[in-house]
Amino acid sequence: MGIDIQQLGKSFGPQPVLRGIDLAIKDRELVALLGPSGSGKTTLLRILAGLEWPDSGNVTVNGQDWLDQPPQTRGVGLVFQHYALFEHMTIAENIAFGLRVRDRARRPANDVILAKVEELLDLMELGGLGKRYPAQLSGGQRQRVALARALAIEPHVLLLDEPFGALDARVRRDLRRWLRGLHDRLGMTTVFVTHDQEEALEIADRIVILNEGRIEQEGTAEEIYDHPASPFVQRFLGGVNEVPIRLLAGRIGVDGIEAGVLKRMAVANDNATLFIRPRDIDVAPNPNGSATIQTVSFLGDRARLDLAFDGDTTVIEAELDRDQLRTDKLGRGQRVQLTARQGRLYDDAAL
Amino acid sequence: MGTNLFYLTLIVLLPITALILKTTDAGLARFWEVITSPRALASFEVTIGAALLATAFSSVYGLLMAWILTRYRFPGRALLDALMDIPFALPTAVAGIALTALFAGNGWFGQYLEPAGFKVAYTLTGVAVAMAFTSVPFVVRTVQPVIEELRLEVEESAATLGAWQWQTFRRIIYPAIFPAHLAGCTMAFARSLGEFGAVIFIAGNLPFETEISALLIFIRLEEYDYPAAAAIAVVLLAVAFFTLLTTNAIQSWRLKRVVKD
Ligand SMILES: Nc1ncnc2c1ncn2[C@@H]1O[C@H](COP(=O)(O)OP(=O)(O)OP(=O)(O)O)[C@@H](O)[C@H]1O
Ligand SMILES: [Mg+2]
Repeated sequence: MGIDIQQLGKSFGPQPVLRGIDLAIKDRELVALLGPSGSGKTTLLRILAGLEWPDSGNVTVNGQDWLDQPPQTRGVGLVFQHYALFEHMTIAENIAFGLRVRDRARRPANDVILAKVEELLDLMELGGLGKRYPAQLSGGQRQRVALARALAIEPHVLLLDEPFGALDARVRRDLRRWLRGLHDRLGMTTVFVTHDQEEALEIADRIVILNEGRIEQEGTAEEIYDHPASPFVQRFLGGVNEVPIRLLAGRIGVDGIEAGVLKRMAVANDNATLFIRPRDIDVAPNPNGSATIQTVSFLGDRARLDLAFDGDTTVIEAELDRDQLRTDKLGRGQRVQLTARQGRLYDDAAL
Repeated sequence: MGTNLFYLTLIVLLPITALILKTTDAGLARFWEVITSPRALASFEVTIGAALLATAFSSVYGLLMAWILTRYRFPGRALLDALMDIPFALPTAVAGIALTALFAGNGWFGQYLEPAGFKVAYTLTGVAVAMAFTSVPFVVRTVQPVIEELRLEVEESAATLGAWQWQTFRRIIYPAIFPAHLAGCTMAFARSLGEFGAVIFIAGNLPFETEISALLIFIRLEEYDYPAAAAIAVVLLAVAFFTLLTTNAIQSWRLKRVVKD
């Protein structure tokens, strides 16, 4: 089911939380809502679930107004970060809940419910745990129970609020791939909220970046990564060097970094900042270079260098292959020359 | 642990042992005769019957008050919250006199209730009213913190799964507060069994009709018939003890199902 969100606005007291959200989510799309804490992700999700109502705007699903429907009739599957399982019920009863509370006309027969529960337990790789209580499961298992419970009502829309937030890195990675597979198999429309940009980039069809109640950018992972629409997005996507520029005869330069390839970028004045990703900086050993390697940190196959200029407190981060460390014999204290391969220029007024 | 046991012995077990020993002074035959005398039996019936009535009321009213106090924000909420403890703080005799004044034929409530056919003062209902008044805070105060701890997200999950409010209450909320509610009701019941001060003013204390066991104990004491007083007391004790044991059993059975082993 496609979800059409128009001009959604919401305030809590005097504080605006959503400020005119426009978003069209396509049928069977997996959309990630990404944004810093307090940007309104949960609020948006709760409005979609019917747990919160907006002050203004519309939500239509398949052309039908959704805002005049209570959560009970929307048929959405909702999963919270902290599972919110029914602690006094067995896993099987948790999963069956949504079917058991249906009115007689729509409630499946008991054996149909039990079969459905078994099917979901298998699907979630929870076989044999049906008789346990939530307190007897691990975090990852509980999260899958929460998902199974939400899926039991065969929702057309699945809403997940930081579903893997409370899990350790490995379990998260496994679960999110598995979620992607599940989404594809069941043919739902899925919206999931996350803090974790890596998670969003990895599994979402489309990423929506929220900032202070507005959509900062939306697009595929490539679009967002290769063409960040604003300094906010670029910062949010992680570790970026921000260096002030100089204007030399209409061409830009950066102290201590060779930026020859960037010279054709157009700027009106030098009130601008260059954003360079650590991976876009070349590091070459050079006794007359302007920078010194301060620290070397290992990131698996890659390494991160913290670099400093003489008489300057700015630290530049560069990322390169560990192989290069070895061939160029790069190490702490070594003098190097930095070259920026690419970067983006933002007017200081926009920062 | 050792210290705990010592205090338990000193404060709880010692008096109970003394009480039971006292009843044996006069022998088992006499014990049986006392507790099966028509007047004593009638007093048990009044006491237990009224305590059950009072507990039934407290269980509903107390739950409702606890719910209102935790789930709604309204002007005067803090005051209402504080008022809940009044029955604890008030000397029970004062409560008894106040209730009698309210429910007597010419009292604020009595003047409307009696013409309508509800006689409260000097009836079993009056006994139950006094018991309910002094015991309702047990229910409110045991249930309230548990309701406060319920996570809204759990109820919201139930709503998105299609459960309407009453279904959520019956299937999710009540089972979660049930152990506390049961504990509160048990305490209310036990307290009602022993309530003396608040009851005797409003009860009228007619033997065979509105005379509670606690009063009968008192009367026997005044007659220096200590074994008879102790015998009646032992029965009250046994009822209270049995109630506590039963509810404990129910709770541990429930707990075993929910808590990690
Ligand atoms: N029920 C509420 N009452 C008052 N303010 C609220 C309420 N819910 C959310 N807010 C406020 O709205 C803002 C956005 O909250 P929201 O939970 O949507 O953020 P979020 O993007 O989900 O953040 P996080 O990543 O930390 O979960 C926050 O400033 C929060 O304090
Ligand atoms: Mg949130």
